[in-house]
Amino acid sequence: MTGERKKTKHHEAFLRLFVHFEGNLRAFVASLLPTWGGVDEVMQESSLVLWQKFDQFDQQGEESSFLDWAFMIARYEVLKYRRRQAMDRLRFRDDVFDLLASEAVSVAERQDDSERALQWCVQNLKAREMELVNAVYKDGVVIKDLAVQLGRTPTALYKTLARIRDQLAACVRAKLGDIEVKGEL
Amino acid sequence: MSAETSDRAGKTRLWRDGSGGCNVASKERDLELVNGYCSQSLSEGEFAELEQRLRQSSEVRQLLVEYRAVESALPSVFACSGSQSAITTPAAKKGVIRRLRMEVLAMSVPTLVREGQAVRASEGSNVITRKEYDVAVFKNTWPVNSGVLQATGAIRFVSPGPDFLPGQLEDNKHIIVFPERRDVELAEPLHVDITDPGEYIYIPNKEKETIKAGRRLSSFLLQLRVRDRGKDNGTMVRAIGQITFATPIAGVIATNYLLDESEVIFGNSKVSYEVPRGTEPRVEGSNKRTIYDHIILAADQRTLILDLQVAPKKLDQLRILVEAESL
Repeated sequence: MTGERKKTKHHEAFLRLFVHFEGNLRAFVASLLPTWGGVDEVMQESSLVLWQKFDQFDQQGEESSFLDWAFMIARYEVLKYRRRQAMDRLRFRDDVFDLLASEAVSVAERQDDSERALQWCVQNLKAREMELVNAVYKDGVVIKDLAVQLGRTPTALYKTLARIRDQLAACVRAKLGDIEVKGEL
Repeated sequence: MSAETSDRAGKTRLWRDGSGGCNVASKERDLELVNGYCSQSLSEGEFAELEQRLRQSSEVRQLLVEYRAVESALPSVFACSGSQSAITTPAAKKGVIRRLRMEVLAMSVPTLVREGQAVRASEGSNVITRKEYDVAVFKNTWPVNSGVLQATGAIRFVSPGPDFLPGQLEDNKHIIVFPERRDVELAEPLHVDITDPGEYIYIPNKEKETIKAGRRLSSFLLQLRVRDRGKDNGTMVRAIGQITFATPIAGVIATNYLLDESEVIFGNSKVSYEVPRGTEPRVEGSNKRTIYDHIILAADQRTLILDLQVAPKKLDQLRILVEAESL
């Protein structure tokens, strides 16, 4: 195999693994940081570091070992980001951060199943609830702007979103239970 | 032992015992705090309260992590295609309807149906009724029916409809796929940037590859367009994804002037295409930029792996030409 061809295979192998586990990694990072801007920044940095260090990753091993390795690197990148945001008022102390990081690994490992369950669960939302979630999570519309647009108060929208989150989380939890029992949704 | 305390927000918390076990009111408060954290609407006092609860209770930690996992998955679920993979349902895995032909018989009133409109026809009735144009139920089959077998990572399929045009959609995280014209026979040879499998971090600055006249092709426009990110405008946005087409890729167009040329054949007349908008794999010999777009055309000739980086308010576009499907 020529050097160029080997390099292409190398890059392809990395991208395949990264694309496959990106959702899990994002869930892990989101568990440790309060803002989506921070999550995006850490994901960017983590993807670069993972690529730069991909030579050190044992590609002959289990595919899932990529995720363990990626969690480790992402955790380090979150710590670096936290240091840069030292004055942020929504910043957990180190002991709580460590506790959350341990919890986040087990949840993020099942993110594929969670996403499948969530796809099923969102179908139960009403049209207006879907529009609200879509605007906030997909389009990134700020709640205050959305409140003005919809003629509602930000507090009312926060409450509606909280109720939707409760509903979706409970549904996903139940569906994940079904997967464990029946092996499928 | 039971103790009752009143927190800053005026909520009552009842503790069943001193071990951290809590009753319904306390669980509700935990939910409030976790939701407040997700919404970033906690006061400093409430944040400290949440931190304390996280320290005390693994249940609360799990709650917070679960909620954040749901939130992080929502953009994927709600994105244009609505799914990471176009093939997710059991029905789609068993077999895919690639073409649907519908005949409506015995209509008493002729009904004109335009793109972006929907009607309902029922068995036993000769009346066609208008209904809301809602494509959500087709979100999983639409990409497959359009000739895309699978899209993973940061690639999303645009919803079908006249309002979803390349110029109008911005997405900070995803490469959006727009189906263009199908089954077009080339009247003249067409220049493209890439025809052979391989990794492309630069577009060779040489005579372009040519697809011969007479080939029947279908076209897809892939776009990464990042909206104004305010104070974060200095940060490049990166999107990595993989897309597999049902038929072999005949050519990839990535440069501005070839995108312009091919627009005449495959473009949408309703769209005013912006420039510059080509992807920016480095032109051979140039070392001005340190960040490049990567395009991999896999050996199966059907799969593209993209690693694109674009600055806010900028646009990357690629046109993918695939062999037309034989009907």
